[in-house]
Amino acid sequence: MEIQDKIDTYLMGRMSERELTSFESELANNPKLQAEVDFQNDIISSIQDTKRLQLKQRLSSLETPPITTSSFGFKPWAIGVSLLSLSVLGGLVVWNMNNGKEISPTITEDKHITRSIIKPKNNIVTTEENSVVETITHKEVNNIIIEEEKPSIVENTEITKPVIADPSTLVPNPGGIDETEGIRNAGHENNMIDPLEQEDTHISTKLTPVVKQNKSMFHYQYDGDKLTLIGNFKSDTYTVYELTQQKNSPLYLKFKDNFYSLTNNNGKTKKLELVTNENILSELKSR
Amino acid sequence: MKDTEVIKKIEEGDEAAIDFLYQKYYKMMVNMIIKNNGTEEEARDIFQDALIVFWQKVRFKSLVLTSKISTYLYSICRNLWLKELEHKKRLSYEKKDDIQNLTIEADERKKIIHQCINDLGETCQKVLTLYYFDGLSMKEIAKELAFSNADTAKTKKYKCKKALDKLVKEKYSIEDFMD
Repeated sequence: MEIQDKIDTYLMGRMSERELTSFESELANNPKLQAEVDFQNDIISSIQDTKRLQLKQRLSSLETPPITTSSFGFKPWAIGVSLLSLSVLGGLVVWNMNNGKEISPTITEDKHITRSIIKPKNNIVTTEENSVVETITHKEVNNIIIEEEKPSIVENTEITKPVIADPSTLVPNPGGIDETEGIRNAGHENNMIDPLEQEDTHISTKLTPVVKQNKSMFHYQYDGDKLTLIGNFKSDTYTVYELTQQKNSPLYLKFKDNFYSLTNNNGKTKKLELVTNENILSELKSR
Repeated sequence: MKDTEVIKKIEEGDEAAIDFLYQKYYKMMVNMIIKNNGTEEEARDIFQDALIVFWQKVRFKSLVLTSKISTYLYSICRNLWLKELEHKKRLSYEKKDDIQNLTIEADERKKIIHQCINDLGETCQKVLTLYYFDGLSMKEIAKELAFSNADTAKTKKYKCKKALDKLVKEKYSIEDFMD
């Protein structure tokens, strides 16, 4: 094979494994040959580029259909349907007003959910069945108004307690309890945080305590890692606060405008106790 | 036009076949890239490159098409666009001045060679393109350009290449003196 043919075959990637090894070792020991290969490489790639450019110019000169930039891909008929829907809805509202009926807001289950960002820590919190439940006598708690919600149910859920990054942060409860099932994972079914759901919030932490349903009874268990709320918390959003990041420091629960302290009771069942310390109360109210 | 017809036309060297594919699938391919953070201009460029890859694959006879042409083109576009995104990302980390200097030098060199290619006769341009771009054999070149046989094509290719090398070397030496 002539040297020119060899270079062509090499540059067009058509050498066999054996030919390639032999040619590359020749290249390594022959700078003149290497220079010629570099030169030929420039020429061959220019021939290819020239043709490529011609084809691209040819394609660019062709007529192409217009591209709609809307990511929603609105079609004229879709806009028509939207306008029609709006006018029907508007008509219904006017009709309601004219009939003197009061329009009450509907509370959906998402209404109470406050989204948050968490820094998870691998403390696994496991729900416990058949806990001892005592009757609570606190009148504020007994005054709680029960409302209906449609929570999602997760039984025997394992919940990861997050590290609370900012002591001033709010800890939401995303939902209530189901009366029949009793145990509910407050929030996402698998405790995975969907980044898309972390919008519109200044809150940097989230605690998902175990909630056990038991009508009109409000107790808790807390051992520093695991928090279990026992009682009928289905009626409203509750919020758990942590004022300091120390492990044994108490948590605080806000439920129906009342604040309760949740002290570390080594996992024993304890009644909810109202916060009486004025300084702590004002600190909690300021959040 | 059916997929098999398109392939047949490309095998025959009929460029109208890629015109057809370009117009037929333009919206589909361009929209895919726009939805993945590209502009229409970038998308057009990528789709054109994809069609050229497809053309070469068919001409090189290195393509075993097991899906529809549109599916195949879509995957080429996707890969080229991912490569482009990676390239953009890498560029932002590298020293831009160094890259710019290298590019200017390479561009200058290519401009000279490009000029030399244009100075060749039409037949020479065709022979060299069919051999180096389309990857045809001497027999196929002979058939496409109506030469008497493969040997004639081989001789023609040899002469044309030699003429091009000479032209480029002359230009290079002039440039060297100018430096």
